[in-house]
Amino acid sequence: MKGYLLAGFISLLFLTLTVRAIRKKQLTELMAILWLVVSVVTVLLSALLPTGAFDYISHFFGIKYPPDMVLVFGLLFIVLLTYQLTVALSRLAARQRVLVQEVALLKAEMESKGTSG
Amino acid sequence: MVSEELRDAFSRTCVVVPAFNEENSISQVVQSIYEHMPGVSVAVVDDGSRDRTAQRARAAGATVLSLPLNLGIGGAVQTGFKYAIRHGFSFALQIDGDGQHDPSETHHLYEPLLANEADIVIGSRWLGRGSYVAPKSRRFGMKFLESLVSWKAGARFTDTTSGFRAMNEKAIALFAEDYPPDYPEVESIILAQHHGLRVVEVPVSMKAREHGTSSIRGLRTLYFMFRITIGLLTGVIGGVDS
Repeated sequence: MKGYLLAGFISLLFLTLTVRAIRKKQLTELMAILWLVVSVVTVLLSALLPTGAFDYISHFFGIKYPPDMVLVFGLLFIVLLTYQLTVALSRLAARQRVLVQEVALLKAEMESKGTSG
Repeated sequence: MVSEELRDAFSRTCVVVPAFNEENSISQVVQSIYEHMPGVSVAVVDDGSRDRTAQRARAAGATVLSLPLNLGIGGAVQTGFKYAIRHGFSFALQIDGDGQHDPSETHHLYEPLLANEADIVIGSRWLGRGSYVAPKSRRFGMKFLESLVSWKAGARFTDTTSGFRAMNEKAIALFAEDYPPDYPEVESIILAQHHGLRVVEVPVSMKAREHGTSSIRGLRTLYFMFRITIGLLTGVIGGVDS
């Protein structure tokens, strides 16, 4: 079955990219762990595809059509991730605002010292 | 004539003027402040303007707080409050940099402050003085916010979007710590009350803006209304904790 091979190939490629990104320190620790888990899970799932375990797992979750399991969990994962990203982004914006304000205040302080001294 | 008491208050006042691309009006605004409020310090917060706002303000004698990035009105005004609190000012007066507010009207704002009847005094266009007429399109929104805030605050507020306000040290300290970043005028009233500060309105006259356009227009008006309504109803006021 070519489909399994393709899925396995893509998963392994993704795992390699993740490991590379971690070694280059392009990801924070939390995100690194997250993507590592995702890569390993997809690799495992591709490996499990031919064994029928996939069907077993999806029936365990009450999903009648096994491919739907990928959609359901994939979508759930993406929604949670997006949520986490917007939270992180809002926090960064708040922190940036504080820094920008500090820069303006420090600049004004330097200017006033420059003129008086 | 400026009374002795007012003169003393002015000497302990930092006037915070948020300005974004206001090179055409900023000098006049600053000059007018110095003229009508002898002894004050003026801090113009240049919110990442691309024109000569900062130079003009400096030439007019103001201290300029230049934000390296545009933060929006809330972040800009808060910078002024931080400046005021760090330099030990007892009062802060917020005046828009577009010439809409008349510094000769400030003594009305100081009366309740000096009598210790309020911590924040908002200059309202709608309490009878002056001849300001808002564009028709804005009246509905202003009315809506008015009822929402009056309901939330348990007191009648007529001009919730007014950025012409005076406040004492207690209010400056609160706003230096916590100030709504996006559309601060409305939310800050509720925020202040929530912290036990007394907020009152006094009538002032305002002019239609001389230069430039409001930052809130078109579709943004709808977003503005939506955002504020959500903010007020959920009690999610102020920004994200940094």
